[in-house]
Amino acid sequence: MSINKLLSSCLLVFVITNYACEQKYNQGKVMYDFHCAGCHLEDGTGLGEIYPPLTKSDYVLDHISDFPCIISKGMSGKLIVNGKTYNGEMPGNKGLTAVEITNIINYMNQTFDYGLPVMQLLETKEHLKRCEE
Amino acid sequence: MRIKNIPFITSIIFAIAVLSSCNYEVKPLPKYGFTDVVDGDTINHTIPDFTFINQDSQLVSKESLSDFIYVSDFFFIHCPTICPKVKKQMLKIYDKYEDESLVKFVSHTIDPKRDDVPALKEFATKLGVDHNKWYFLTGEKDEIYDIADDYFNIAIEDESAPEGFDHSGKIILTDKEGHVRAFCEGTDPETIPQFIKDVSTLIDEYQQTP
Repeated sequence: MSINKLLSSCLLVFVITNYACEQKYNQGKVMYDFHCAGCHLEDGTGLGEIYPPLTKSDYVLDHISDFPCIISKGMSGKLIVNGKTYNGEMPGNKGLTAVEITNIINYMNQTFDYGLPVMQLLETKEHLKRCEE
Repeated sequence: MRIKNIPFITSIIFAIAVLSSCNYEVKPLPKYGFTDVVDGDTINHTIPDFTFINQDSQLVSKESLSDFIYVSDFFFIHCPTICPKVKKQMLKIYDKYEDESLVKFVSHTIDPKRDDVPALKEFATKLGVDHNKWYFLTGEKDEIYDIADDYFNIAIEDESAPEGFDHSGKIILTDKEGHVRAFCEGTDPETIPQFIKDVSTLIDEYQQTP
């Protein structure tokens, strides 16, 4: 009986933690798929020298604090990512809130394994001040 | 006795399951579309004659492609939705048949106003593909939209769609005679492996009966 109890409580803990992990950055995933995946693709690998990758990207790791503004306002001009030169134009995503942007960045960090610390909402807001009109 | 028999029986069942799943005969690919009967002969749906311009300003026509089988799609450069996804899958197929001289790749822009020859050339270069293997075609808008229909793709100019165009992401395999022999959904990576097999089946068909 006690073994049964132990097993079932273990199972319960396992299910709950699994559920909690999968739910993490759920909004970030929805937002990423909607706003970013069209060009950078769901797996973040980008396309040729047209859309830069977001996975294993030295640019992302070096410029993560610029990402709130990049996601919000877009960017254009020359850009070197993993040794490849890109020269396109990314439109901004008007209407995304600081919370949504934070969730996108944390979803990317988690899914593409950047190994960066979690971005806090206050940090995002601070970074966004740099590109406010 | 019983214990000894279990692995034996299991392996027999497994062998039967594996053997029955094998396809000994490769079925020829179908010819898609409506058929017509003319003077008692059945005529399969065929891509009509066309002439478009590629990224190197060369004319590409049905006739110039008649020695090749080709994989085609419809796209436009400013497309913010499905095109990059479809292109990624096209690239996957391209990588597989890059050295197969029988196979060409054809991408039709549905936005000829913006996607002119230099824009297409730049796009092909950035995609990193061989310009003699993969043609990016532009031409008269009506002609492009009509031929999309023949490839079972939809191309519509629609102001309410993202960047002004609505279209489908089918990738089409056409044989030397202009028959559509296979297709897949470029937006669904799971349909690509079967499509790649279909391309190989069609290559085999021509290599057996040159």
